[in-house]
Amino acid sequence: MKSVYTTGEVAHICKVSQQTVIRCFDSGRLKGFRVPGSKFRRIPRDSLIHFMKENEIPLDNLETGKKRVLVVDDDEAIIDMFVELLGRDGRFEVRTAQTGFDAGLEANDFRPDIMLLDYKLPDINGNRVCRTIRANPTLEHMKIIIISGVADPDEVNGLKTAGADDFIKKPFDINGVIARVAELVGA
Amino acid sequence: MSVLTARPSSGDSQRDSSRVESPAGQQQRVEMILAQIDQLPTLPTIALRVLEATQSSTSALKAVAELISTDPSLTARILALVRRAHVGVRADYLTVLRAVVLLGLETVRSAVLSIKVFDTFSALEPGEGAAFDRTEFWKHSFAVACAARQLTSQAPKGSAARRISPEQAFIAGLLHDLGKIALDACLPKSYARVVKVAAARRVCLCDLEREFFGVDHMVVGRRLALRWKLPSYVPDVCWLHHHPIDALPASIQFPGHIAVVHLADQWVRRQRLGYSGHIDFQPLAPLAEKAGVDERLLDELMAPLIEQVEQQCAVVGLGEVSTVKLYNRALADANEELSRLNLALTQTSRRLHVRTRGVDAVAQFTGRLSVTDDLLDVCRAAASSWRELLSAPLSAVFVCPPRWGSQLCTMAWEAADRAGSDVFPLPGDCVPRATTETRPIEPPAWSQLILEHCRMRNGNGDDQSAINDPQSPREWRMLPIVHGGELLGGVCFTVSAESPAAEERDESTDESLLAALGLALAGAISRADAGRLHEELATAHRQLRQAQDQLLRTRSLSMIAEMAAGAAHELNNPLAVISGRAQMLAMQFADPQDRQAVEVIHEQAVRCSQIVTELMAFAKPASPSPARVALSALLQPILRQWLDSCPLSAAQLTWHVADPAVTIYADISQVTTILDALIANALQATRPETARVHVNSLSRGSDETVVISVEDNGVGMTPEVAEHALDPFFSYRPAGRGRGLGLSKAHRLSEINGGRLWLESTPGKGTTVWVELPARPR
Repeated sequence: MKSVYTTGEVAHICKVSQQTVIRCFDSGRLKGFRVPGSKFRRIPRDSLIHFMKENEIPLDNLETGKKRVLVVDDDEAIIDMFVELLGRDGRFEVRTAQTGFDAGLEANDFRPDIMLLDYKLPDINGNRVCRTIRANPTLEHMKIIIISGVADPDEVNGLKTAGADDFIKKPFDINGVIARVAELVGA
Repeated sequence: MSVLTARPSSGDSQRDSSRVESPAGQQQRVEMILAQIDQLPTLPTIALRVLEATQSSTSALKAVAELISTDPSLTARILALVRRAHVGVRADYLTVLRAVVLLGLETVRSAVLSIKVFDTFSALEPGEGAAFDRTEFWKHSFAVACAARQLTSQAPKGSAARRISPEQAFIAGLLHDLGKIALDACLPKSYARVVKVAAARRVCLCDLEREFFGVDHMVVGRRLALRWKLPSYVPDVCWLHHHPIDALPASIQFPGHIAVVHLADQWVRRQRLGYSGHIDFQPLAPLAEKAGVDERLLDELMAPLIEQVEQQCAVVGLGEVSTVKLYNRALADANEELSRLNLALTQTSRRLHVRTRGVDAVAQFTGRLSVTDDLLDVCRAAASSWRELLSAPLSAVFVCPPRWGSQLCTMAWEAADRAGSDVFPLPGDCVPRATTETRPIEPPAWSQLILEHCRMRNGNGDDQSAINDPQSPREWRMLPIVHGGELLGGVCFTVSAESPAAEERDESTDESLLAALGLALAGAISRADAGRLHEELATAHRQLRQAQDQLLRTRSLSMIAEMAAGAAHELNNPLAVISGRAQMLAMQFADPQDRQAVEVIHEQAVRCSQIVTELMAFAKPASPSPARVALSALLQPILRQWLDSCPLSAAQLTWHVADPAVTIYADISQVTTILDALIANALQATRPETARVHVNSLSRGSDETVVISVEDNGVGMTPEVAEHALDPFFSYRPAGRGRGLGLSKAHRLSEINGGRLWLESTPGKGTTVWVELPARPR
């Protein structure tokens, strides 16, 4: 968990411009310090939380220290199970999407560390989602695990070349899935 | 006579062609003919000199005798005349002068003239193609001469005829048709035509002569007589001997001569003494009256005429044959003609006989055939018929239809005491080249080949008596069999010198049998083609049926694959939830019993998922990636693993590979799956304590495929079960034990690896499953 933030990081967390953050820092409304020997501004975590509460800014974007996991599946039962499973573990922050389109939006907004992607989606095929995400450079660090009931070995090989980091066949061993997710994101 | 057989049409065309000439052209033609007449040789001086000797004084006789002596041939003939007329004359006494004296100047004169005129024209005897009969002509001339002499010498005293010198009458009669012989000498072919046409159309010769030549023989005769400087009555007689006496111009000096010759000519024509070319007759009465002779006396008057004519003919060496001899000759001629006819008849009969043989051979040949005969049957019948037709020691009929590439030869042969047939491929140099001509072909390589085949089929090579007897050298002949412009094959046969029928062969006989052969062979070829087509159709039908079955199977497999893929996704999602929730529950339960219960839920969900996956793998297996491995290297680890995991001992589960060099070319993991399935199947069918499972391969390293068998001594299958043993989800085991995909999966995998799988089973004895796979890349 971070203890000191740059003005850019504060701007991202508070969803305001960096200029606004600098102005608040210089006016003394946002408490902080300059790096000794330079004019770089630094804001400690406590003063940031105080500033956000004072100005009624949601604390959602403030890093919780958990790994962000996006679960994409059209089957609600699967989603519920993953939310419960990953939430109970404590190391993960989970968001979900039921279509390929939602998956794309959430990926941009939530910036997940890893995505658990069902191969067969109602709108877009899994390998297409895979390829689209891999084409976006800002998401290049995101890991992708395909989780599917598909048994065709030729199709599985095709998914791996589309950019997936791993393939897990349904039904699966839950401990095996958690271990593989933690391994990939370094949690 | 031949002149009577001429066709009138030829004369007509000739006449027509002459008619188109203009008057000027015709005049020119007449001049040309007359110029040609002028070029005829002149009468020898000797004849003229003899004619000039008018007085029969001793000096004149001596002069004539001397003249005659200068000509040896004339001398001989005059002496012969004397010997004939005066039989008692002794040869050694006979001199020319004595002969002249004995014969009298008049006789000598006419004899000399006859001889010389005859000789002159004999030198100009036309060659082939001339139809004007010179011999008959001279006979006629001598007959008229003699008749005229007879008339003038024997006519009643005081009559007009009596006033004319008999010798002059003789000469006038002899030369009256001088023009005819002159025309014949100058224009032999044309004159022959004139004579023929005149005879055929029964018209006067003179008219036709004028039509053809523009001049008649009278004008020509007068002209020649003048040129030859013959006594002046001769030109007149030549010119006017056909002229009506009453109409003779007053200026004519010798009407009496003319009248006598006219009468003599007509009388001679009636007697048919010789032939002058004239076939028309005029009434004798007015002519006889003019000559002062009673017509009724004429026959009596002329009685000695025939003898006289013969004598005259003898003088010139003409017709020296007696009547008897003539008769004999006529008989001989008739005989000759008869024998010629007989010969022609014999030849025709032989030809007909040969043809009949040909027709018989064709009939016999067709009699041997039936509509169901194949090519070889037809060849056999043909070889037999051909041999019989020719009485040939050996005959062979071969067919190599060009439609079949001319590469395959069907041959049948027949010899005196044996026969055979053969079908063999042709060496390239022996394939007959296409020809449509029906003529003998000369393929030395062929006859050798046929000979070799006959010899070979004859049993042992030493016994060649029927085929190749050096004592009777035979000639090989070959005739092509052609039908519809296509060379189908040929007839090969030997001809021996002693073969009697060889000479009786006729090309038409050969051709008729060859044509029949061609037709029959073409029919047999068509039948063979039709049969072949039928077989091909049946094969195609069978293949189509198999392809249909295969298609149906592939279709149902792809349907299964699609269904399995759908099921996999649809089932695996809930199964994932079931198993996932069960696992989560298990973690929460503290009670081990509760935990075990939810773990069972998890396991069964996974098992359900596995069934779907297996079905998917069966319907749509992964594409094989073949590699070549040694069979023993492949088998060893599989068997070892089974020995480790199953209750069977090494004595119960055995394996044997006959040739260690045997390799297999297939997807190794899939072959492993196949063998695993087969061994599992065998183990399931047996009881562990008595089980015997043997994996065996008898294939050789050189084989294209490898056959592996897995044999067990298990319960075996009934035929009904064996029939469905390869169907997916079919199992003869009680429900719930195994999924029944093993054999069908093995079957499917061996197929996609280019192999096949089949089994044999006896209830109570056991089952053997064979799998065949490629040994090397194809």
